[in-house]
Amino acid sequence: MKKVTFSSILFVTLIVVQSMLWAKTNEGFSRQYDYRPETIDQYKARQALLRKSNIKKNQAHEIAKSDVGLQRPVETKKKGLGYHLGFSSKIYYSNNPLSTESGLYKISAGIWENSIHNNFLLGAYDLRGSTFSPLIGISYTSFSHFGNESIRKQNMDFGSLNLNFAGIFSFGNGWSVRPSLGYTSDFSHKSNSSQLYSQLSPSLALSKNFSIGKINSFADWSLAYNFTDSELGGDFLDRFETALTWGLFIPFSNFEFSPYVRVSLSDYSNQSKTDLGANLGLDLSYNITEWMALRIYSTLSTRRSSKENMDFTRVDTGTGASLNARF
Amino acid sequence: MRLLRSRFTLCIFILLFAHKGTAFPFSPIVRSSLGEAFLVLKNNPSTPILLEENQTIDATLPYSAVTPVDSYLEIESPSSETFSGFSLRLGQSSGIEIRKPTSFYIFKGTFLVADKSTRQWMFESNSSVIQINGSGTFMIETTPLGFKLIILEGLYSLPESQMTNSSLTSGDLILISGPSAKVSQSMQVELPLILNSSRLVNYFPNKLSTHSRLISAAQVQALRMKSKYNAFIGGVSEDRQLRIWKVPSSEKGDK
Repeated sequence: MKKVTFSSILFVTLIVVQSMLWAKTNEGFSRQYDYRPETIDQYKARQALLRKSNIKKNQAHEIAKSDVGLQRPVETKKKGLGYHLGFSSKIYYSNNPLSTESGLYKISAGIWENSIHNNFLLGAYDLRGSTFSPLIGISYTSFSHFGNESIRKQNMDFGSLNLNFAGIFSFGNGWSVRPSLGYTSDFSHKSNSSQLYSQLSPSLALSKNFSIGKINSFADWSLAYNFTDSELGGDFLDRFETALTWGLFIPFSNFEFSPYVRVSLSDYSNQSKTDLGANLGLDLSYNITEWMALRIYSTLSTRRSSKENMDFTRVDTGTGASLNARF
Repeated sequence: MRLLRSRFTLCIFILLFAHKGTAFPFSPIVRSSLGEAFLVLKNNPSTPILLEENQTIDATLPYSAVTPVDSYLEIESPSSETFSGFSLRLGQSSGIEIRKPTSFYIFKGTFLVADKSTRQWMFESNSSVIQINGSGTFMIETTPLGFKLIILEGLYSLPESQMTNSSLTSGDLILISGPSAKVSQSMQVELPLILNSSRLVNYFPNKLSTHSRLISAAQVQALRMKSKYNAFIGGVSEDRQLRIWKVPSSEKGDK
C-alpha cells in the first residue's frame, strides 16, 4: 500500500475545493459536448490499478542455480480487492477551447482542469487460462477557463461526472476484452449546477498489451453506443462510435514518455452526420515519488465531419501534477 | 473340466490384475531432449538408451529417465479421445524411476508436471514420500530430507493426515520431510518471478500445454499482491534448516 500522508490528502481536498469555487465565478456559452477530452486519462487511471509489477529477469545468485527458479515469499490478498485514488491538476493553453471550425468563437484561452479518480477493483479471479477483474470507476473532472475575457464571461466552465462499470477479461497472450457500461454527466458551474449533457454508453473493447524490453505498448479498439441527453435537444447527439487507440509507455530514469494516437469514427443516429476524429498526444511525466508525478504534455485534436461547419483542429499544451495512491 | 475352469478363472484374474496395474495407456513420447537424456530399463540397467526427440517409449514399466548436467528432458503422455495427456519435465542432473504412469521414485533432481486432468500423483525418494491429488502444474525438487513442492497453477490436495488445511493452490510452496512425510506450513512465492527464472518452465523450446493457465495464475497473484519479502528461499540443509537468502530492499511494498 502506498503511504499517503494527511498533508497530501489535505492538499488534494484544498485544490478540488478551490477549483470548484473558482469555477463558480465564471460564465460560458455553447461547446462541443460530443468531444470528450478525458477519455485517455480515464484509460490511464484504470491501467494504473491493473498494471502488473515489473518482473525482473533471472538474477545471478547461487540460489538461481536450481532449475525450479527463484522463490521469493510474498503476501497476497484473498480476493484481490483494490482501490486506486488519483488526483490530477492540469493547466494548459488551448488555441481552440470551443472546438469550432472558424469564426467568432475560434479564440484561444487557458484551461485549468482538475480531476479526481476513484477506481475500485472488485477482485481478481483466475479462470484458468484467463483472468476476470470487475472494476467500478468514479471520476469527477472540472474544466475552468481563463485568460480570455469573452470566454470567461460566457458559461463555459463545467464539471463532468463519470461512472463506469467494467469487467476485464485478460488472456495470457496480452489480449483483453472489456465490456463496460459508462455514464457521463456534465454540469454547468453556473445556473445552479444544471445538467448540460449526459450520455449512457454501453461499450465493448478489445485490447492488446505487449512489451519490448522496458517499453510497454497497448492497442485498444472499442465499440460504443452513446445514448445522450443534451441542452441542444434531447437525443440529438445519440451516436455509434468506434475508436482505435495506440499508445506507448517508455520509462527512463524517473521519467515516463507516453505518446498515443486515437482515431474515432462516429455515426449520429438522429442527424445525417458522420465524424472522423483523431487525437495525437505527447505526454512526459516525471515521478517525484511513487505517488506523485509532474507532467508536461501536448495534444493535437482534429475532427472532420460530413456536416458543414463542424470540423475543427485544436492544440492543447500544458503542464500538470498528479497524486496517486493504490490500496 | 474342473481343472480347466480353475485355469480359466486364473487367467481372467491375471488379466484383470494386470489391467488394474496400468490404469490408462502409457506410451510416452519424448517431446524435448536438450543435451543427453537416457532411458534405463529395470531389467537391463547397465545399458542406458539415449533418448531422441519424438521417440515413443514403448518399454514396459518400470523404467528410469536420467539427465546429466546441462541436459533436460520432456516426455509427454499424449492425449486421446478418452484420455487427457500430461507432460513431465526433468531438470539437469535428475533421475526418476517411473513405476506407474503417475507413480515415481525420485533419485535426485527437479521435476515439473503439467496436467489438465484431475489425477493422483505419488512421489517417493529414499527419505520421504508424497501423494497429491488434483489438477494443474507443479514442480518438485528433492532436498536432503524429502521434497520441496511448488504449485504453479491449479488446485491440489494432500491427505488430511499430512496437512490440516490440505488444499494447495497457485503459488503455494511446501516442504515435505522424513519418512512420515511431515508437511510444512504453506507459503506463497512470487509466481511471475518463478515463471521468468525457472528453467523447467522456460528453457524448453515448446510451451507447456498449461502455459495460458500459468500466465493467468501469475496475473491474478500480481493483482492480489500485498507485499514481497526481501528474501529468497533456498534449499534445506541436512540439519532441517530452511535456507533463506536476504536481498537488499529495492521495490515498493518490500518487507
